[in-house]
Amino acid sequence: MTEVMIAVVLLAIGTYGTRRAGVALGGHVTEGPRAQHAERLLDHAIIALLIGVTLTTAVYDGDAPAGWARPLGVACALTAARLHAPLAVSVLLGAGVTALLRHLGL
Amino acid sequence: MSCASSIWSDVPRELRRGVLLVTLAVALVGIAYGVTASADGFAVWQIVLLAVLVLAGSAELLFVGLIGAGASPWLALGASLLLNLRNVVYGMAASPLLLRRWERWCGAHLVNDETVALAAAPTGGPPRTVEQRRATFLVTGIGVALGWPVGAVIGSTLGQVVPEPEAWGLDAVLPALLGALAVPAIRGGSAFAVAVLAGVIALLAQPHVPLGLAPVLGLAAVAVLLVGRRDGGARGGAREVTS
Repeated sequence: MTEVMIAVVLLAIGTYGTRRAGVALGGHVTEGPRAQHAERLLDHAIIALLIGVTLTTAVYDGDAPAGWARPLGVACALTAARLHAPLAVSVLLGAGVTALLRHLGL
Repeated sequence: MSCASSIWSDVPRELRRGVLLVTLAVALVGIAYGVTASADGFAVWQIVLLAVLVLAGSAELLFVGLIGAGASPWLALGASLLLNLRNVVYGMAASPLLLRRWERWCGAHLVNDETVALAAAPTGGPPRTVEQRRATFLVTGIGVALGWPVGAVIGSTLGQVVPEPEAWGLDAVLPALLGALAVPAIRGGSAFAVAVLAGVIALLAQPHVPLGLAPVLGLAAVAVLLVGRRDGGARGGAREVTS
């Protein structure tokens, strides 16, 4: 248990470190075409990361596929968001469809 | 208190409901995390300590999950840190919003998927000011910093009562929330291409790389499609995202 607690503290320090490093690295260039280009890259990087985390956590439990219910539920949530549904509707739809499909035995 | 209400009034009106909903959704995921962690043998105080100090939902779920599955704490630590590597990119995005010295030190702790997604949310009309985006970032960050541990406490106490968060679809809340935050920002051809390619890379890579690395590898999509191309056909669409 002591080892686990040391790992918890290191995880906290390490996680803060990744965030603080990003804050320290960003924002050096703030004006001009180079900044616009960097900002554009960053915006696309955020989309790439969010979609990557969304899809991998929807489809997999660790490195194995998690079954069909969750990916289908999340697909419903993404479709709703695409159709300009409010955030709450999208999220509740995702959870609701997932739960429903599981109750149906999928 | 007046400081808190003035920062709330800087949050653009159309984003306020979003901020509250993100807080609520994060609390729901927190409940799922609390249930999972207590099933994995963690004590309530440990679950809350992780929630407050780490404040990174998916990394904590992974950490308690791996330890619950019998993995060594060091392996769980490495995997969770890998999962948090993307925070470097998010931190860079938040950097221009954190102006004062203390903000850079304290605000860094609030950098996560949700806060950056909302602070960078596209507008229907004129671009948002730095003040508005800063307020959105900070208020969402405070919401997440409160919602996550509160959800974790409820979940870890409820752990014995509701043993299966999956039956309620709670495990779908995190991907549904992050996806629903990302989708409105995908405007224009280049953003769409990046999203599709990044998603494909992450999905294909996931079974073959250490946990957490797949979404970071998806960043290759940005490199392939955008680096070195200052302007392209899709530029107009992407500028809207930037605003």
